[in-house]
Amino acid sequence: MHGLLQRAIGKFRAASRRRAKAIGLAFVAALLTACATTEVDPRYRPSASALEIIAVLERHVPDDTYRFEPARDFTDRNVYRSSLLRLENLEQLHGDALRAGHLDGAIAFAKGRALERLRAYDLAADAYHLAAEREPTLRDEALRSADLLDTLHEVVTAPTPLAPAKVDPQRTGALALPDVDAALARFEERAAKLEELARAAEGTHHAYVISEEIERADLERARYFSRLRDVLPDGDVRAVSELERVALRHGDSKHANRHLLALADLYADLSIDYVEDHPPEGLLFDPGAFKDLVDSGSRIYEMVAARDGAPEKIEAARRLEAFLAFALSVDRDRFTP
Amino acid sequence: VKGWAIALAAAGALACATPAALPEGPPIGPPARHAAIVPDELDHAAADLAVAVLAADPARATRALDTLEGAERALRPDGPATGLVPAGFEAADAIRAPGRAGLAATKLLLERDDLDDASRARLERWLADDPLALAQQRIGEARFTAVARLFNAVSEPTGRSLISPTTIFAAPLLPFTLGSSLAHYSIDFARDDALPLQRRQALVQWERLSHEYPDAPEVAELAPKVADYQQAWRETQAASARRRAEDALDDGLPDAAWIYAQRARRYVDDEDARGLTARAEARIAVRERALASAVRYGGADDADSLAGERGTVIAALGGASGVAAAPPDPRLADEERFLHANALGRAGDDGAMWAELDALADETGSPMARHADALRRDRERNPYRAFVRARSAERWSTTGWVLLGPLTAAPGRGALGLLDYLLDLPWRIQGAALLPVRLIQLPWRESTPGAAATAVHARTYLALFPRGAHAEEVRDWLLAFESDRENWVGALRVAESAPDSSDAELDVLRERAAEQALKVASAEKRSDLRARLLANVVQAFPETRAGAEAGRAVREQVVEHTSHAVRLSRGFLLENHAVAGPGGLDLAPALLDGDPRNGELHPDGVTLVGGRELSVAVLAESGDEDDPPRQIAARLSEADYGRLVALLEETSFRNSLLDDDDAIDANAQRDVVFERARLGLADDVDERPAAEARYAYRGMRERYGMVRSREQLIPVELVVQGSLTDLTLGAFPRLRPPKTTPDAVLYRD
Repeated sequence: MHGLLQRAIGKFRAASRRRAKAIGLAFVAALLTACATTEVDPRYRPSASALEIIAVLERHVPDDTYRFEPARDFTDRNVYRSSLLRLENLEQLHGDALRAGHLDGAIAFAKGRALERLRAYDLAADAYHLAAEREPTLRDEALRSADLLDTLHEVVTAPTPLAPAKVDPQRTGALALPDVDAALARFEERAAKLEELARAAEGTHHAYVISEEIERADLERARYFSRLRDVLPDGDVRAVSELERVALRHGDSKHANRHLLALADLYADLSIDYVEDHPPEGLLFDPGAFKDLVDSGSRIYEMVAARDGAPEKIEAARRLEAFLAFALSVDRDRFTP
Repeated sequence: VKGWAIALAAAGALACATPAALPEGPPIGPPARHAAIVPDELDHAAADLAVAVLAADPARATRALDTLEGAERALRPDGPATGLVPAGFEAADAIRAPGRAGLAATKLLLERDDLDDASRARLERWLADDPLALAQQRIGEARFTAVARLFNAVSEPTGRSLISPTTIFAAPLLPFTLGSSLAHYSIDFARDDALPLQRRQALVQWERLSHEYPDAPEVAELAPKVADYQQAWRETQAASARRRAEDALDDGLPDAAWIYAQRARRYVDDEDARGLTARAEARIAVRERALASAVRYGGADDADSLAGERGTVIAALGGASGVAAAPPDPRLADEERFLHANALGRAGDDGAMWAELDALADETGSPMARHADALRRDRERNPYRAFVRARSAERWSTTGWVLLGPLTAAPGRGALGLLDYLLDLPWRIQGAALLPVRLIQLPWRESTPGAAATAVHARTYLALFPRGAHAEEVRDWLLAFESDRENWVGALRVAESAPDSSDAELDVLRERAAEQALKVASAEKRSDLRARLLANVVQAFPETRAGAEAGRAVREQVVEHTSHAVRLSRGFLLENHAVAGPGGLDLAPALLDGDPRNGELHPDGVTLVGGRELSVAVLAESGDEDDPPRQIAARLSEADYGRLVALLEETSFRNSLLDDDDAIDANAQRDVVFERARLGLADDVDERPAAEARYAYRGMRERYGMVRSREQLIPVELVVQGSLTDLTLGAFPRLRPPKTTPDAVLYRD
């Protein structure tokens, strides 16, 4: 009986040991599986990196960057800038693997796609030309993009209408007023060329790039009049109407808040100028005119300050407080909100 | 064991004492050129796929992907996988599943087990950035926060009553403490925004979804919810504007109150907002009436009578000595007193001037009393009165706090504020009884905003009346104030303006002020500004110890300054072999073998100092890591330098994906230096101080030690809390609400 018991205990212990061993092995295996890392074979790292960068970039090529902020990648950088930098890193790091040239066309084309979103149109066109030369499959699209970007580069780098003022021959030592009509004609000419390009690029992602340039051209025109508002006849009114034009024409733009802020800033500047030119304690101060300016500026600031999640919200809120503090510092018998 | 311990200690001592040599050869390898790698079938298939993706040709991309899969099966029939195929799927899906269709494709891709870990982390982050996912997460957080608040409102009083050393006394009070806590919870609940932060964030994400993907089926489903949230948002905005209007009314700013009340009405035109507008208008009307009465002339109203008074007034104003003559007409006595007071002030006797004006202002019924009163209330013109009042208010506040403690706090606005105060009254009374504790705390009590305001009035007074009747008293107070808050530069300025300061006192203050200025200068990060600040310390405090120290620091900076300093610490190089190895720096292996006898890298590691120059820090001769290292200069070829910065960037990108604690630190100057290196412009060094790149790549162990503290997965914590003010101690579980996201600031009003 004792022997049987001993054997049973022995069997039980052996089984327990086996079970413990099996559990131990399973645990170690599970641990190893959990700790195992999956990595691309270093031999194929260059090809894998190229595919990864192109995948990320290509997913964002159709993005409407006129209406929406450009996407950011995992490095929290603009995805086009990040892709460009990573393509450059790829070329630096894996020069030996890329020397055969099998990825040259793809990398050049991808660089073109990234550069055109960073406003480096001439460099993008160069990259597309290289891609067209190296990769027959991409040739047509590369040449189309290169042509379009060459023209776009020409249009956006044309001399600015902000020409220096000329000496007035009628009055010694005085400068002639800038030729507003000539400047306006050049702005219109640039706008017409951009509109024409936009029609040519319709249905492609380049349409968004050109929309951004049209917006910039409109903004430049508005700035021209804002900067000259002190010297042009009715300069203040013209400056306000030009900034309003930008805000209205580009209400869908990702910069819509910025355009509104610029308009509110102009009203704030006009209010300050008004108080400087017509001190509130003086007889020429018109409370109604001042109130108009304050109301317009503060209403626009308030509108932007109410836009949750927009970075301009903070700017607008702080500027609104500062503007109201300025307005309320005007003698209370001269300005009643 | 004893023997081992002794041997280990001896070895340790020997190791510490081993002097370190310089490395025998150059610290980095010579420029290397590797043979080209011939692409195989897989590489060609990947290149074809890349081209198809860039050409936005889904059919061709699918064919290329099939070829890639086939090539891998042929090359590695039994594994292991190369990792190229998942990269291929991601690339093909970029055009086969554009827009939101990419979410489903990415989820499928994540199910593959041959996906690279870094790619997996990257794709998971991309999925988490989807507007719907973000909105869902924020709403989950809002719900959890609401539950946590209720749970904590119950658990805290329960725990403090039941799990406390004084349970026998605290337990019977449980019904009351629990009731009070729940009442507080209800008050807070009633005060909550109609749309709390996380739900506002969710609303923005839903709106983002509808703008970016107007045709997505979720947009129509969410429309009613979005409308509800937008209404709640308007109510939140209105409540915020009403609060501001009430604050402005409390601060005596009816114009601002009117503006905020109008803003509230633009969001929700309710009774409260209209009431606030009416209150602001009533206050403005009162002020208007006061202004109107102030400008009303109470004298004669016809030209003849005015002409008759002219002579009398001129006689009163015109004194030969500039001091008003005695009034020929007793009706002008007050005017004469006012002028007399002004004359006393101009003569430099500010004490007599304000005494005269005070006396005049206290006389009611006189028109000039009103002017005198306005003048004495003007904090800019009569800073001494403002100083005395602010100091008195500060004293009262401190006395009140010492005597009554929490009872001095004023109840919040409205019925809820009063209810809140009343609920806390028993604890406040209990806290008020702890006067000895507050007496002990008194010497360490920080200066209050009231003290800062008093200091402003004191400075104004000394600027206006440096030798005034109260200058000594004000100066003494200001000196004590600046010394208490250890603003020695300010204290020195006050002491120097005092005519009776001793040289010994000034010397002590000068030394302390110099130390303070040196500390500020040394903390400046930009080298040119730092040098300028240090030079200022030398010039301003030439005779002090800190002045001499600043001089030494300026000289050191001139000698040791480098255009850039991008440091790769030894810890970083040990953890990232690829950067230290032949593909990167190609550091001599002896520098990292742990043997100081053949030269060993100092913990400072290797620094990119500008151009293509490196500074390799090796252990000092003593072999002690704490001693300043010896620097060995080295230079990389243009190609190697470009490869090194590319490798550094890619390594930090990959590390950031594999380890959340190793996030990428943005540094614009460093990025510019790297960008120029990649373009082969490293030798064209930008020497402007603003372009200096100062950055350190450090190893994870250097940053976090052997064991990193991890954020708890379960949001519950056991809190043991004691309070000196009410002498209680208790333990209770608490649900930890989720942290707000960094963009929360963009949602605050």
